Formats: sequence, C-alpha cells, structure tokens
Amino acid sequence: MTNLHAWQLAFLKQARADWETYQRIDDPTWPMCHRLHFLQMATEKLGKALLVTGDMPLERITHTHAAFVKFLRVALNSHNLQNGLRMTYSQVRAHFNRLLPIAGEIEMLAPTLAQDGPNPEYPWPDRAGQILAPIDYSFPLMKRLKSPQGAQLLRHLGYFIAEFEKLFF
Amino acid sequence: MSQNHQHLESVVEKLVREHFELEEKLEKIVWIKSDKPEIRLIEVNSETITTNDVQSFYFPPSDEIPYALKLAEVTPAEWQKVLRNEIPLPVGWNLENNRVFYRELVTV
Repeated sequence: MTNLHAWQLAFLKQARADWETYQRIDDPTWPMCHRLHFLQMATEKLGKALLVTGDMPLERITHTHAAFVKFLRVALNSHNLQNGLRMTYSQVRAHFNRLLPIAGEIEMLAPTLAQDGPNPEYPWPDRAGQILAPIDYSFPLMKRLKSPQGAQLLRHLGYFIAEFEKLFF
Repeated sequence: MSQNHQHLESVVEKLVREHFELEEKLEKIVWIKSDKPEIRLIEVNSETITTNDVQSFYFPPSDEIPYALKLAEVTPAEWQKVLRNEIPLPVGWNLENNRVFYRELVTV
C-alpha cells in the first residue's frame, strides 16, 4: 500500500465514523450544533479522501476545510458514479447543481470558513455585539436539510461514503 | 507522435468538448501533459468557488476514459495566482508542457 493510499483510507475511515455518528445523533433530542458538526466533518473528510490521490500537497489538504463543494462539482466525472446513479454526465451535473447551495452551507460551518459567523463549534458575536454559543443557536440549515434537496444531498452523501471504493478506486 | 499519445490526445479533446458544452461558465481548460498515462486538467471556471488551492481530484480509468483523470477547477483569479506562482500546482505538475483549450476555439 502506498503512503497516499494509506492516507486516503484513513480519511475515508474517519469520514465514515463521522457520518455514522451524525446518523446516530440526528435526532431532535440532540443539539443542532453537535449534529451539524459531525455532518460538516464527514463531508470535509469525504472530499479529502478523493483529493489525497490527486497530487495536491498533503499539508495543504490537511489544512483546508473547503473540500466538499469542489468534490461535488467534479465528482460527476466519475463514470462509476454516473452508472451508479443511472444518469448521464449532464443529468448528474444538473442534479448536483441543485444541491450545491446546501452543500455550500454545510461547508461554511467550518469555523475557519464561517469566520466570525455561526458555526457549530465556537461562540461568535452577533451584529449587536452579543456573544452567541452554538448550543443556543437555531441553525437555519437544519430546516433546509429536511427539504427535498437537503434529503437528496444526505442520501447521496450516504451513498458516496458507503460505496466510495466502488465509485472512486 | 506515438499511437498511444494520439489516443490520449483524442480522449482529452473529447473530454474537453463535453465539458465546454455543459459548463457555460468554463473559460478555458489547461491540459498539463505528463509522462504518466494519466490526464491532468485544470478547468478555469468563473462559477466555481474560491479555495486558493489547485484541488485536483483523482478518478480511476473507466471504459469511457481509459486513463486516470486528475481534475482541478479554479476561478479565473486563482488561475492568475497560479501563473504568478502565488498558488502552487499539485506535486509533480508544471506548466512547461501544456496545451490550453479555449471555449471559442473548441465550441465554434
């Protein structure tokens, strides 16, 4: 096994663990911030699992938090994915384009990308200067995940994570 | 030009045409030539998001594209930074041997 392949498997393993945790706690009895935190982490590591064999320097991969939206934008180039979804390139593209806004919202949950805005990990100041804790915040994204596009995106995520080897190896 | 290279080139040209047809905001595609039997493409697309990286994703060979495909998407501003060496290319990639496909020339 090459070193890069070992990294890929490690990112994939962690993405699967994050995704499984998200699924277990995706219940209203759990705080939104914790549910979204695991969802964001699963998507980030999924993107990195595909990035790591693409020649990008490893240190840049480990330090970036923006890997999911680009993953979704280019994943349609996988013919295995097209076959798995029983869609052509153009159909997958049109389909994924509808899901990109929600994917973007998930990606922006990473504190580094959210900057001084809502994120599921650290407090931030609102416009009035009041300090908010993630645990007290009602994330609008939660509702969008229940929309048809949100549900489709989550279904695809589960498929990518479960079938990664078949789709991308 | 060897037969293998001719085949690789024809696969790249087909791929490039397809992508221009479907991606309206795709301005140009840079094919980074390699000694390896793989296709390295950087697509300059004003619709993509800014990451300040050249994120190249790997796709294995398939029946339709019998070469490994490494594909990156950057914004026009990011591409300018790549040209100014402000954003590094993926490891082992360089611009010494490349071919640029422009929308106007491919889709006319």
